Amino acid sequence: MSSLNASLASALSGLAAAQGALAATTNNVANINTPGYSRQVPILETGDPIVLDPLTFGTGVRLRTLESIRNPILESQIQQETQTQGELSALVSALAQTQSNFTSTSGDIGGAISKFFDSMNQLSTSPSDLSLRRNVLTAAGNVATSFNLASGHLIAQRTNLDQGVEQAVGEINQLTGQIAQLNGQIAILENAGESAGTFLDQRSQLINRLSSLVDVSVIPSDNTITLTTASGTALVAGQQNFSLSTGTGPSGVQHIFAQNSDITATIVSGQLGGILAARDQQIPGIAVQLDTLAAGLANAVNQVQTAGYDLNGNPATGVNLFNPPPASLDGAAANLTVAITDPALIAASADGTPGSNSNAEAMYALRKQALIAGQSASDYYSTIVFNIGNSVANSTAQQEASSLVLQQLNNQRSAVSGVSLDEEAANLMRFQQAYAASAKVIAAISSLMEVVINMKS
Amino acid sequence: MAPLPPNPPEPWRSAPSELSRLYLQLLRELADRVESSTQAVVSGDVARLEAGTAEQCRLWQKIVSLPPEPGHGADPAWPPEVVDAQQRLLHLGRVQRALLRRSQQCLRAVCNLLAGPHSGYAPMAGEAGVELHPAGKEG
Repeated sequence: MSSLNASLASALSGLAAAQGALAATTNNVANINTPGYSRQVPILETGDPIVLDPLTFGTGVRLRTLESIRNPILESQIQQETQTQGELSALVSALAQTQSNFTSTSGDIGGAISKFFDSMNQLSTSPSDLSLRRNVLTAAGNVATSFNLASGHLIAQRTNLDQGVEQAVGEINQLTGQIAQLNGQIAILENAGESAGTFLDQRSQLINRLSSLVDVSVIPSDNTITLTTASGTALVAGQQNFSLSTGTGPSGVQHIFAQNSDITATIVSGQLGGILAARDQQIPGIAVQLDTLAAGLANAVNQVQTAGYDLNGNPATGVNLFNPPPASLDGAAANLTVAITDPALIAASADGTPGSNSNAEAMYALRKQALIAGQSASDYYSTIVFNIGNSVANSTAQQEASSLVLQQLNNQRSAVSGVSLDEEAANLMRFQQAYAASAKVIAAISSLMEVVINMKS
Repeated sequence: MAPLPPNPPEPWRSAPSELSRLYLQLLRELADRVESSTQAVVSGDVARLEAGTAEQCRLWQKIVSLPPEPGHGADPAWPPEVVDAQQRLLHLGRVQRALLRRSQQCLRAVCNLLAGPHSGYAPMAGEAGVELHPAGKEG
């Protein structure tokens, strides 16, 4: 038969369980605005019964654990979307800067090319006029300067992005260190059968921050996790983190190394992936197009120039207007310069006769001719600018689409893991009543004990 | 017998400002529909997406039935508010396209999973750049 002491113990277990549940509710309410907090739910279970033949008596209740409510699939989706968001954000930022460099009035290549051909057109009206010849040289110099400036902007932007790589790698190392540390604390608590909800939330937040920097795969194992990049490079294994490092690669830009292995090409997402895409694909692509344009224009002008005769009636063979670009085209825009300083050396004449303007007209005719990839120089430049603008617009739209999806996922996460004040208010009353009821039982048993004690005295 | 009142002028045949106003109204309406459809894609509301798409088609038909864009002839260029509306619509269209492309990728992954190990993971036939196998040339 159950004793009064056993009943008292049962009532006390109820009191303790209600108190624990109230603590969980209080903690939930306190963290209603904490980012990444997952609400906790008390998991109650019946105490092991005592069998006193033929009867079985319950021994109360115990609070097994405070379980944090999470949806691992949603968490994983949020991490993936955060990676996409980080990548697109970095890419849009880089491309927008490139666009602003190309659309700014200073160093406007399209305008400079147009003015150069205008000056050549004017020269053809009076080929012996020295001031018009000087205008042509000035306009040619402006063309060269605008190419130099645009190329310089691209080089400077690559250097800035290179610094971004180092910064991102530093942040990644810091975060992986913190995650490894949390893995240790979570493992200790979970091995001891205790709830590690708070640390799990913190780790989830850190993984999200890491996801915004680099593509991360989370591999859960017993009481811990392993983090790798999407291509399988280990970042964290249990309580150990593997730092990434940077070093100058063969192309003169920063490469990323993991345990002495170059992993630069394998990083495709997150802010780092976006920076690398801009630095190694987008900007070099634009630089190649600029070099092609500079070389195409310079070679075409030089070809006509060297076929004509200068103001003194001498053949201009070997007298280029622009210094010839390298055959590889590499650095053609950055190093484009005007080859002559004497305006008399401009070959306006096609046959050496004084007043002849045929060669100047031939040079002016280059304006409409297909010089590069079936397009005129101005059209080719417009295509470059259009493509940059189009890339910015598409990347911005993709970023906005990603933001919408991320917002939706966060809303879904809030519905599952977020704190509902209404629900917590109901829980508060429920556990308060349970606590009060247990307390009343204790009071009742106390008075019963008093009766027993008084009987004996 | 009293003479019949003259036919009301077709809106796009009247003054340019009238045309601009009508064009602007249609563009704004279309942009709102695209925005609503974007929300439908994000929340996976297929019914709303389909209704929105039908409405967009209707509005688009109205827009293409308007005279050609001014500025190419004697007509003045569009006013700034029309250009802004065009830009907004273009941006919303791009966002919608990005979302639909993502949904398409998810669907493709599900299709491949459902198809089992017998099918390859190549893009499905009929997609852009992928030719359908001509019947009769196989085997």
